[in-house]
Amino acid sequence: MRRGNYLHVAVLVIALGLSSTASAQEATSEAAAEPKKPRVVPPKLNSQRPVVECAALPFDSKEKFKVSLIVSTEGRAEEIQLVKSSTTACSDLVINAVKSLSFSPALVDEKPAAVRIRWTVLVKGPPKPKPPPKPTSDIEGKLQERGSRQVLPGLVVKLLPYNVQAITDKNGVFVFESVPEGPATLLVPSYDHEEFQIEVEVPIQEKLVLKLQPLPKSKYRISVERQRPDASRVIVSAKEAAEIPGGAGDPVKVIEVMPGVARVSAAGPNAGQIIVRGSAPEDTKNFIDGLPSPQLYHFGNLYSILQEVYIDTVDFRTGGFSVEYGDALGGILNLTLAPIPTDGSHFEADVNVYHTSIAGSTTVGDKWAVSAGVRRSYIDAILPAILEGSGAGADLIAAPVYYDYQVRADYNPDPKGQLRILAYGSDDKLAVEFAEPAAQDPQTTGFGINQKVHQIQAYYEYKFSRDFNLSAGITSGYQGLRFNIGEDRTFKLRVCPLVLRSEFGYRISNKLRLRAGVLGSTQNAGVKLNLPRRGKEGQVDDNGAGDEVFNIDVIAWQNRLDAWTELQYNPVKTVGLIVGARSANWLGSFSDSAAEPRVTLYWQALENTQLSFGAGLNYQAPLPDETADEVGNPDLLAERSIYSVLGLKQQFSDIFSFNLQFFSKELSSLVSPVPFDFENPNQVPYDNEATGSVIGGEILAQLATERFTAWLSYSLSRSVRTDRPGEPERLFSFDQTHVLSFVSSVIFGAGFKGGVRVRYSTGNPFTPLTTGYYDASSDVYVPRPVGSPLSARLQDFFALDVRISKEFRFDNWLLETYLEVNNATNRENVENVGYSYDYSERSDINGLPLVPSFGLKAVY
Amino acid sequence: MRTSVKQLAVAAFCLANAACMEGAGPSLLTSPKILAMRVQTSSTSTSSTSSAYLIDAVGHEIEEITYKICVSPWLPDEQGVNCSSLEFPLPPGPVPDSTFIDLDAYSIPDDYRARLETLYIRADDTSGNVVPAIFELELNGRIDNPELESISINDEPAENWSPAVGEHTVSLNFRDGYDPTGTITSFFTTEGSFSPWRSFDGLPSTLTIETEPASLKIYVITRRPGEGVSWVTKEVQQ
Repeated sequence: MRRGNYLHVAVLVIALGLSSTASAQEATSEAAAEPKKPRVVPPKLNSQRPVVECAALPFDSKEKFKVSLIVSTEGRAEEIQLVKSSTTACSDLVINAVKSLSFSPALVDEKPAAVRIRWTVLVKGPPKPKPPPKPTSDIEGKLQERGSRQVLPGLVVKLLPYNVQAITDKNGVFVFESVPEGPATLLVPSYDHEEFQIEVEVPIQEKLVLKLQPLPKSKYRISVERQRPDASRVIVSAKEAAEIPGGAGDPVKVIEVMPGVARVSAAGPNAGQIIVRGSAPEDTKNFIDGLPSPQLYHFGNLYSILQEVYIDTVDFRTGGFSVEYGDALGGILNLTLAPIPTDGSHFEADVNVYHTSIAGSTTVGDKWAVSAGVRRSYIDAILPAILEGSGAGADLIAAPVYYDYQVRADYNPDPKGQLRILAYGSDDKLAVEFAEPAAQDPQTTGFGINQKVHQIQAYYEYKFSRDFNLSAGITSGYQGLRFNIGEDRTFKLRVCPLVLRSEFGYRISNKLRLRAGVLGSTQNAGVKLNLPRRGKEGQVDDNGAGDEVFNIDVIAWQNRLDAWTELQYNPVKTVGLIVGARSANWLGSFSDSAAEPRVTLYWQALENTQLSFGAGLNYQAPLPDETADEVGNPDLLAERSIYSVLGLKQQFSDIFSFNLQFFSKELSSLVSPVPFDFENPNQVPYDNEATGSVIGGEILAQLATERFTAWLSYSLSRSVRTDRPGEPERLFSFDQTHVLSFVSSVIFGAGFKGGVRVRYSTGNPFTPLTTGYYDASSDVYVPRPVGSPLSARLQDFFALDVRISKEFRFDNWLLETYLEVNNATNRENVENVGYSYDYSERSDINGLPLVPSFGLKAVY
Repeated sequence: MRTSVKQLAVAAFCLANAACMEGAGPSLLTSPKILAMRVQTSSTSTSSTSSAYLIDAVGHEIEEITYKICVSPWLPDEQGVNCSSLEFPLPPGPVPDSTFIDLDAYSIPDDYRARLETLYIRADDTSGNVVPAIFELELNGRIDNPELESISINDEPAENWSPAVGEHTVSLNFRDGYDPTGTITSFFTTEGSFSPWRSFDGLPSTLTIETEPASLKIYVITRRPGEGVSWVTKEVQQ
């Protein structure tokens, strides 16, 4: 019961007392006759008890005024008197308020009666007036990296002194709403960038752009890899790869230091040939965004044909790869495309000793982003001077030059789907005319080569749900290759392929995932040649003596239809089993079918220790000339490899890891030249009688701290071939027992970065030659082998490359400069052996001496 | 294709490397060597068929040349250069260092004879110390030996020239009206060197002599690739 109610009761009791006094006389007179106590019901207020507001009282104060009144039999308040109050200033208000009240009259013996009561009225002062509202405003801004203008999503921005924070969205944008006008502080705590703090005066008329200075530390970390269907796979970001010393900024050259890859010659007849785990160069296939690419390099593998800005990662599988890929006995090199920035326009220009390139990108509407780039070499401006100085006695008819271009578009209709389009091409040319006939072959009066490619591809991915995704790709284009040796020996090739690829992934349950896909291709090729049949790996180059010269002009079709499916089963979290099969079918000039089962098993033995095992079959079509009707054998079968891989991956936090792999390959049905047999003139030139084997181990160790990164790869292997049944085993032409690569880089600060690349490898095998006979018809000397095939080795290779770079970072653009010194020790590495014109003397052909190079890159 | 690309690459690499260039130059003859072989339809043949040929050769310091024939290409291997099919010795011809071929005189199996398109004739020095030379005789091919008649040295007939220290221009004299376009000529000497060693289209070469020789021999051999060969020799004694 509230205190006010007690008062009411008291007043009522008094009132009742008065009432009883008034009626006492009647009661006395009646008591004698019939004593009876009257039944009284007090008056009752019909409405809410009023609260009177009186301006005379202080703000927000409350007072209780006591009044005395009579409630008439009609329920009206009459004879109202103020009994107690703190001020008289509010009397009228209180009396008027009471006067306006309506009561239910008191009842005495159930009859209405006028009674006087005492009552308390609550009187309050006026409300305290509110201060006028203070004005507010929103703050919106964007975080960008200083220099590159790259937007920075997911970073915390604090607003002081209000101590509220916001996180930047995918476009690097942050918003604070209703910030009081006046001074405030925005603070971005340090993560990969220096702490940033700025005083602002709210309101801010323009959208803020905060430029964060990146910390001088490596952005690269060793991350835990998920289980993949590929037993041997290394993925390197293009930005990291481009900074490897000796690569002249070409990210694709990172594969030269990957485990399992033989040392790649930088110059000479084997320049740039990628030998993966003892397989031939043509056994490794190239892809861009998962679609086959006919050409990834300019001639001599001098440079890749995609600018760095278009490459996201270099994804290299050295063996034991998923059934997703086929028609390869060696490795799979896949360049994934970098997404086009969606935060405005960007430009990049790169100038180095080989070429100049420019690229630009911009957004078109909300869903499209487009980009284009072009590159041109200027070796044609340099080499003539070198030749003139060397006294080589040659005139450049068409100096070596390469062009390439890239056009990209990304379409992002919604977060679930993305379309990536790439059109690219290159054109490489070189033509030389000798001042006098070549000593080794007088008919070689010069040579020329022109290779070009124009290709377009599109790839669409759509995630229907967390469990189901679908993708499809298409690529087509034109490839041309022409070369001539002298005037008579010519080769022209034109290829127009169309490739379609589609796949889906479906998570059946937490333990079971399914992937499947198809690949279909058709290829039209036209060949015109006037040449002898080409030599095969391991054969002695006999200077063309006695070889039949073919004059061919043919058009051929080659089609392919492959389907694959792969099931990943994780019975427990630490064990993964991936089983797949691919059906490969070749139709056309070469026809064959093959089934390729493959399996990979993972076991996460400890938290940071993973064991893996992979085994399976790979098939590959012979080269087109080997199956051509005119110069080959169309009845050849696909070459086969049975592989097995055993791996151990050990990780020590995010700083150090190593990956150890042992591998073996049994090669069979390899294409082999059939020896000449005069008694069998209709014999085929090639059959599938060659076999081979490769065995080895490799290790990749990586160390990544904030300022120091290092990469060590080492391969130990032996690759052999047997050309014909019963013949002795011989070494593979590119067998390199030991291949060691070490790459490291250090961030010094102030934009300076330095790095080294060290490479060592066993020399390639070769067959020593001596004079065989003088071919009086062609006026050339023909060699003969001194010992058994590939019985000698070139000198071991060693090279140290050094790189130092300096970055100048401005608010809206940055300038990167670098100086590289290839073969810094100026070691005379032997790339090959050469012979005098009559093969009476042998001399070493050395690789490039110490070569400094310089580059500049501006990024906006 | 790979070999051809490889040859291109070797050539390109040699350009940059200059390591493939010859040192003293192949025009200087320092040891016995068979320099050229040629074939002529034999005017001395007793055969009524067109299967008779006269083969001869020119060599430096060669005592005597003997000939053998193989019906398939001679194959060089670790043991030497061998015939993998039928091999026949050839008799001496009517002139020194020559031989005479009359296919009708050999007992070649009919199925072989039907397939014969090319004969592979091998020339060896009797000493066995000279690199053998092999000539491919296309039985249905055209024989067109360049009509090289003589040489001039410093624009004078070679007979009037005596070797002296200095540079001497050796030019070719073809039969009147003969077009030497497309020919390749090789120049050899026993003293000094020629530059260029080989020339296109019958162009001259320069002989450089650094010390006065007691004797000197010049060999000039002109070829029309795939068709024929002719040569002129000049020997000078002081």
